Amino acid sequence: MKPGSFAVLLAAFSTLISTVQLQAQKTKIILDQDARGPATTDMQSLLIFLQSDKFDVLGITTVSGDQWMKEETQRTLRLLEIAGRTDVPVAEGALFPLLNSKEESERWENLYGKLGYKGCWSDFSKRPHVSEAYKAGYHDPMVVPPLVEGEPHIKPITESAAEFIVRMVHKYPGEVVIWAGGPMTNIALALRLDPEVATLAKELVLMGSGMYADNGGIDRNDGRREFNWWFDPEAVRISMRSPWKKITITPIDISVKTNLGKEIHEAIAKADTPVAQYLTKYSEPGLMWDELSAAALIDPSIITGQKELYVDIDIDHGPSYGETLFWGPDASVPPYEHKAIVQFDVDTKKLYDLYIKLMTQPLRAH
Amino acid sequence: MSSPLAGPLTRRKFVTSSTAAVFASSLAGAMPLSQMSARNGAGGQSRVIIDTDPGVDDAFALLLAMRSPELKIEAITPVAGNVPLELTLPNALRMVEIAGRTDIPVAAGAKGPLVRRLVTATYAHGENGLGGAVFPEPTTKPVSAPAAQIIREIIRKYPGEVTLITIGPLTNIAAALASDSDLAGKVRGLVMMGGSLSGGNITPAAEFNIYVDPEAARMVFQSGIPITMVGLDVTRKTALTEDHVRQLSGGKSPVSQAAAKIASKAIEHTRAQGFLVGPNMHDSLALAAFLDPSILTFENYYVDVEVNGELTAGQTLGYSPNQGDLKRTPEMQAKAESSMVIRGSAPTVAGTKNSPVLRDKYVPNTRVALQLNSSRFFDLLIGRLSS
Repeated sequence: MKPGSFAVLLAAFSTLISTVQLQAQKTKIILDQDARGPATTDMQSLLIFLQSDKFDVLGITTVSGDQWMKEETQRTLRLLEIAGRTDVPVAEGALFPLLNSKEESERWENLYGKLGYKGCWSDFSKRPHVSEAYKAGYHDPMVVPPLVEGEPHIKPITESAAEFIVRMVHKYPGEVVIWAGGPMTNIALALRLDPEVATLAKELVLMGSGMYADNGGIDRNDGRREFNWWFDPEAVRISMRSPWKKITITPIDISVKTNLGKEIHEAIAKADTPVAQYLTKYSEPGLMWDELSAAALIDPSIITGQKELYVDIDIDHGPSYGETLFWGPDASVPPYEHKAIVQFDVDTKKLYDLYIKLMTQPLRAH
Repeated sequence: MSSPLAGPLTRRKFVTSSTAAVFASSLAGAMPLSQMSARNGAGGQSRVIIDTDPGVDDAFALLLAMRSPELKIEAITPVAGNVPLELTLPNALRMVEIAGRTDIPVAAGAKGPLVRRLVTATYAHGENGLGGAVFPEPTTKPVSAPAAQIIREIIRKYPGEVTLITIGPLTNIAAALASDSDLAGKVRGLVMMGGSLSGGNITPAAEFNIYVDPEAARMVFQSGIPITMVGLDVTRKTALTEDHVRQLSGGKSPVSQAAAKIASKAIEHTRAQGFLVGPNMHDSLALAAFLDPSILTFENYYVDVEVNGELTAGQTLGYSPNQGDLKRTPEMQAKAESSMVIRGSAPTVAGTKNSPVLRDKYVPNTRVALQLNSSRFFDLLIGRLSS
């Protein structure tokens, strides 16, 4: 072997090693999302994961919540095409919460008062200002209205969301972060399919619940009634009482400190990538509920204040059905309650800068 | 706000209507409530999945199923119930080995109910779940996939063909149905041992299988799958006797001998508690209801499950437009059936505009067994086990 060719080989070898190392450093993640689209907090958070080079996105699993699952799946598939990430598998999840239902929520409202937001059970089409995501109004569970952002050409995989989650945590034991941006139906089902899911996963990270906030909940005066958790309380109960290695929660208490405003939209509008164009066309001002949860996984220093709390949910089908329950870390609670890291304070500048950077950068090759 | 009685599809209406569409277009899909039974003769064998928590009477039901040529048993899926999964799984494997049917896949199911903590019935089934009858450790292994996944795969493989026979808590079935919204419409029917319209056993309100996991039971009753409910109303009349044990002991096959062994232990266990007859063969009756529905008489009901009661969680409620002996004219009967509403508890707060009392419209979802010819049932059960 010539000395020169050895150097070439060495160089090639070290490139290989660094690629392998890079791969090894990436966080394997499953994105479980109620993906209302286009360009809602649900979609924008998915884009953060897809655009960042810190993640190996194993797959996206859809669940009814902000929208019905069937429509969300199509929106998600289309999003992957726009972001050039058709390598990411999408598995369809639960169409209905375990027990809660549109009918039950209407009976509840008759007894205890109107709710301001009910996700796929709401009809906002007659409001004076309606964004693209809400124009279609209410529709039945299986209906997929025409997609303004275009119809997808790719399809979901045949595995169910819960089965996909079970398979992935077994394939990569101790490595998989499960991120939940919506109701926790799929995660609860995965846990009941296979109780090892909680201990095999690396961490559960979720957007949901509310503690001290006096806004951000689905009725004005009670922040403990937060949408994702209220939509499927029994699924939250199953998830929160499972033995995860670690649970990190982005509650509405921190979401309400964020704002995706005009300046961010203007900065993104300057880029001419398909992602930036998609956001410029359809994104509306609002709180960065799910984006914050996603961004904090990339740069933990975005979170400037957090607490350790025991967190659970009320599942009695009465006035407080679906309300967050929480206790301080020193509380004497039964052994089935688990502690979670709960985020409360945010460095918004860091959040907005990171968001703009990811949304304006060229599409990631894969 | 729309009234719950009008407007968009409810979950149950949604599945019922999509089931009807499948049924009309391809002759696949669920069977009408009245036609649910094993297909004898021309249609060949019926594909079934048996979801079970063995359990003394479960063991009998499994042995009966494996001795029934009408059935093509696609899988047996043990669940936690009468005893924990650590016992129901090996007990199911033992039954498969005794019957020489290790070709049937056995898939481990849920270790506990969806949201509640497991309550077992060792008082009735003995610490090992077989009344204390001891059998060797099984050498057969369960398949690696979880029960809910196997259930889903089999139903998808044979759309419109598979009947679920459930003789334990409904956790596995609920998990499978919830994880795949298209699944319920592909199930032929579900025959359950569970529930009661005439009082419970573990509480005055609730029958054990429903009591253990009421949330799962509600999901199944609201799934749109046509259900045959074989509950305490009839299974209370299935007491095993010493005479049955003698007939089983006379049988030569390993199945008959094993059944005799479990039966005599179970009878011993029951006598020790002062009962003059019994135990009841609850689960075998659900199998029998599928094999030969003519041993039972049925009536249609809208059944739902109480999931919230302080004393009554797990109660099955059967709504019917019928008024016992007060028969209506055919026209008024039809009107009563089409206009009946399903009522919930009276409101506790005043000033609501729409009534929170009305929950749904009456559409029967369950054929409930109300009367039984006990001797014909035991002829079938003991006859098949001892032959």
